[in-house]
Amino acid sequence: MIKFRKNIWEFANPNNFLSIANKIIPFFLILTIITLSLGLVWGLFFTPEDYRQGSSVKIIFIHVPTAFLAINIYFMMLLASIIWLIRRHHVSLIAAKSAALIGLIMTLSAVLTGAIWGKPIWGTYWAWDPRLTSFAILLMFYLGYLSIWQTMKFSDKIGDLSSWLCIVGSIFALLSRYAVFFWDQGLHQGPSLSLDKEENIDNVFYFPLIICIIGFVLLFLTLLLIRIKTEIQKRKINILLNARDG
Amino acid sequence: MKLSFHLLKYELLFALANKGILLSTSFFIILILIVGIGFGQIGESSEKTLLAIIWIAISLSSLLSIKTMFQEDFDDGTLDLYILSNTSIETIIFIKSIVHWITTNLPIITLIPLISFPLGITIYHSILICFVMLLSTPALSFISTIGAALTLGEKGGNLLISIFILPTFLPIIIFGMKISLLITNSTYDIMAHLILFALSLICIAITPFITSLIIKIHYT
Repeated sequence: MIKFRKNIWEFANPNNFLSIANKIIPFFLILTIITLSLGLVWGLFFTPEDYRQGSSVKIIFIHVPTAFLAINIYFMMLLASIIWLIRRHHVSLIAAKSAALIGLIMTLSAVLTGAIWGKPIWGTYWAWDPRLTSFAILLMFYLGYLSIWQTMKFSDKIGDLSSWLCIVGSIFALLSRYAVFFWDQGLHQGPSLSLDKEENIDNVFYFPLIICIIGFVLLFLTLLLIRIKTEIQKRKINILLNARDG
Repeated sequence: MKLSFHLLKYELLFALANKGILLSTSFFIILILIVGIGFGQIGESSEKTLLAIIWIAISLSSLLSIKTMFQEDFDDGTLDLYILSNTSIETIIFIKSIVHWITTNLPIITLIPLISFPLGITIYHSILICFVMLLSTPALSFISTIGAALTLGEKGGNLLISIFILPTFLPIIIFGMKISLLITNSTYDIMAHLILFALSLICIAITPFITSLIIKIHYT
């Protein structure tokens, strides 16, 4: 049973985090499987074909959630890095580190599904359209962040450096995005989902799409929890090995 | 203040003695020629590609000597003394970035009319492009100090610097290339010029502080 806790920062204790993560990972896993299978089956098999795009429109149920996650995982990394710099909680740093690879894969899958969708509709896999270019930019910053972790050994110093890299990277990623959008709005359609209902896609696609997005977010959370758990245990093993050897 | 001027003089003399200017300009010329010859083989050589090459070459050559900017001082302990001294580390980073800009980017920019005139851009347009570069390339030197600070004390940090820093040049490069292209078409987008110079000024104002924060990480 989870005790009542005074404030949210007590979750930042790795042991508390591990005990809670062990309890909630199975629930998240089951929820992910249910929502993803519901959303994808509904979206891919029980929606009508678009009158212009035919059945190729159905790739939206993977393309939009992955693109949504690709951007928001970077924001999550930014938040986690800032929390690490201010409050020095290791779980936060490990969360940022673990989210990066998932974000990279989400970016790649958004680009790939976009390319597959773009071939029949635009006639090309890739164009230097502002939206596509900003995903290429995002990909570069993910690669930069991952490479600092790949080349250097885990330590608090590298944690600080990677957090600063994440902050600087997000500033320049945002600037590049606006620079790319400065002259033209491009080939890509506007956002599929927005808070004001005017521009949204039709309800037939809207509800399965929302379920798919929730499913992908749950998938991300599950993977993230598992990766953080693995990383904490890896660090514990390293500490034990160091204690035995030296 | 006196120390700052002394440092500026010392850094400039040191860079001149190391033949930094010669190296960066020859790197730039070789890069331009190689890419130009390559494009010539395909038969795609136009003033558009030339502009792209110039901007890419200038951003690559501003990464050239960036690794040594803090590394030598870090290794022999000069940086420790700078941190202990009265002068703030931000001032020292500012001076070092200015010297880096003077020794790598400024000679290249003066070369651009010479290179672009035979390749089809008029003198008037190339001087305007030089002016745009003069105001926007300091940002490149200032941003690359962040990379130098991040890889301080790291062996083989050169590759890492390019991985971290080249993507952050993008806003400057995108605006610079588009503005230069517009200049060769004799159209002037004042708004874009102002945004580019504002970007450059913001980079100059903010990056010394970020770099100093990153350098202090290595001393905790």
